[in-house]
Amino acid sequence: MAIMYALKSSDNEIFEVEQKVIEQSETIKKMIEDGAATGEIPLQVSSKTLAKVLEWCKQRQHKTVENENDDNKGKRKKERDEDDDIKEWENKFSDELKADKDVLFDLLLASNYLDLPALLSFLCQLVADMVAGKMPEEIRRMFNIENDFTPEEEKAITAEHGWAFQP
Amino acid sequence: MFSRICSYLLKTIFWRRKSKTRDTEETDDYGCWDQLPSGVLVKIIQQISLGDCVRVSLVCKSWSLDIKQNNFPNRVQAAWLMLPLDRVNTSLLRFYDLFEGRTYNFELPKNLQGGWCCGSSKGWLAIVYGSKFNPKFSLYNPISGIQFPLPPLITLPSSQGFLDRMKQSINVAEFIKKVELSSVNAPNCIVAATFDVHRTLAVCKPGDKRWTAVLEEIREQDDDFASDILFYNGELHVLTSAKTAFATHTIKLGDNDDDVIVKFIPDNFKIMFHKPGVVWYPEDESGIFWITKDISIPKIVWIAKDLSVKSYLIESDGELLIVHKTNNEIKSFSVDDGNGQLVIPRVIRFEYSQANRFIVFKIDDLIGSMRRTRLDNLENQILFVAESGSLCVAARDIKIGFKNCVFFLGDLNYLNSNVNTNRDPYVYRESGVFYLEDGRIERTFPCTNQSVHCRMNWFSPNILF
Repeated sequence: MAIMYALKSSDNEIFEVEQKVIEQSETIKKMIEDGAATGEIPLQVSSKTLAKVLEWCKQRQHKTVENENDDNKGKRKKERDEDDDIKEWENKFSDELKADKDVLFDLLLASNYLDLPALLSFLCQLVADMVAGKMPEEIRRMFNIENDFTPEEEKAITAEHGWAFQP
Repeated sequence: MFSRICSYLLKTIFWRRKSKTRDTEETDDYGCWDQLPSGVLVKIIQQISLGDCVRVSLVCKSWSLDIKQNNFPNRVQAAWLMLPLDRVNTSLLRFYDLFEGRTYNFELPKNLQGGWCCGSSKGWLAIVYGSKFNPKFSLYNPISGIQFPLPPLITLPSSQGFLDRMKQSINVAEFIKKVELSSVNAPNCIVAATFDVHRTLAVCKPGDKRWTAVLEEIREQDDDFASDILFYNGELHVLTSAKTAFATHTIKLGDNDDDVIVKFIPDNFKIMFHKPGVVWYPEDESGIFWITKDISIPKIVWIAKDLSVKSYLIESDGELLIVHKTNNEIKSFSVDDGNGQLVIPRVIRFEYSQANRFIVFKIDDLIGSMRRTRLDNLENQILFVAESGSLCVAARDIKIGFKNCVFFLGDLNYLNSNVNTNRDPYVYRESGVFYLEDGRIERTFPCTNQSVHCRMNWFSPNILF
């Protein structure tokens, strides 16, 4: 029988999660080890974001468990198929985040706060791919960021690093 | 230049106009992305190219500040291939970013135009220019546009000998083999350089009146006396083919009180591989890729595997590495007649050095001696080697899928070996990638005609945000 923990989101929603799934978060793992996690574990994460976080953790956990149960026979082919499945799942996950930048931002903060290194680096790579090859104004528009440089400042920096702005 | 200014201006105006429209449409409706935690932004920055990083730093002030605070100026940020200086449009400096697939152009200042680039180190180019017989020599940073003069070459006794010897086909750039800076901070660094087919090793500080010769060999046989040099842990490491033991010297710089610690590393590998009286054996001509001018002349082709070795010193992730490149030597001789009789070859028609493999060692400096350990795996470090300066970049810093490989450039010189000889000119294609995993070489770079006098460089731009 798997040990379950109750996570409480910042908007007071309760999520029942297996210990193995939630231990991917170094922050929560430490709380459990320290014995601080009795009853509900309150988290500074909204229910919408927490649901997304858990979606990620469950997918990762699913993969680890299956690999442990495999014998060597046919493992290679199975691994290949699994890799394809995971890729497909990750692509879908990325597309949803790309479409909703607010969720992406909250998820970045949550993965940083919960110390989920795999999710954090996945998200950072996603953002890196989104900004690659783009001009500052395109990035501002994409993430809805205000340009707080004065025209003079902007001109000076653009001139100083002219090579990076060559078409 | 004019069109570049125009495009900047247009772009700037365009950006302003767009952001104005947006300002009126979506007043005060900005998200919170500008408040991305610094640690997260740094993680994102690590996944993008240097050019992207510069552009991201211009998105908003808080991002700009985060990038500024997390910029490590001593880190190698990128490896650009410096394209040969254009001999017609001499004001143009061009770099190719292999991994972004882009060319960056820079304007060369007036006084350096028409000069020759002799190598690069830590974001600086060494350029020799001006009169043939009293050339000027400067460090130039194409990113900041700053230049520092180096002491005149005539303060090196060996320069006169070189000039005398080379009166006919002179290119003074060939006198300078490698320039190495002790730090990115050029005004306060120590510059070491090898001259005259690596026979002379000298040091100076920018602003000095003269070079201080560490060792100046006069015997002409001692080519490669200092075959490569590298500042590692603040000490000048010198790879030498001279039969010396691992030794440390302290050299006083001429014009001031600074000391330079110089460590000599014997290049045993070369001696180990050198086979006196090597047997040259003929091989089927059709199997060889080089091009000769006139196929009607009967020839015999000879090949010797791993005959010559060229070695490079590189700092990789805090370690001192020595990389050996072995070359196959291919030669073709004219024979006197085509009667099927093998005549003793007399005239070399053609000779070619073909890169065959790379062998990497890690060097541990033990007190009074050193230990070499062969490396089969470079982990995620990528080596870029060339006679004019080598560097190492973490694969993650340049965002590429390559790993465990050595990018190499042909060590061509500025002297035209075809002058006053009757050898065939050739196309040179010894630049590419070597994979340590399986010893495979990919020659993905364009061929070079040896007569264009190009020396290729790796360049690591040094960007301050």
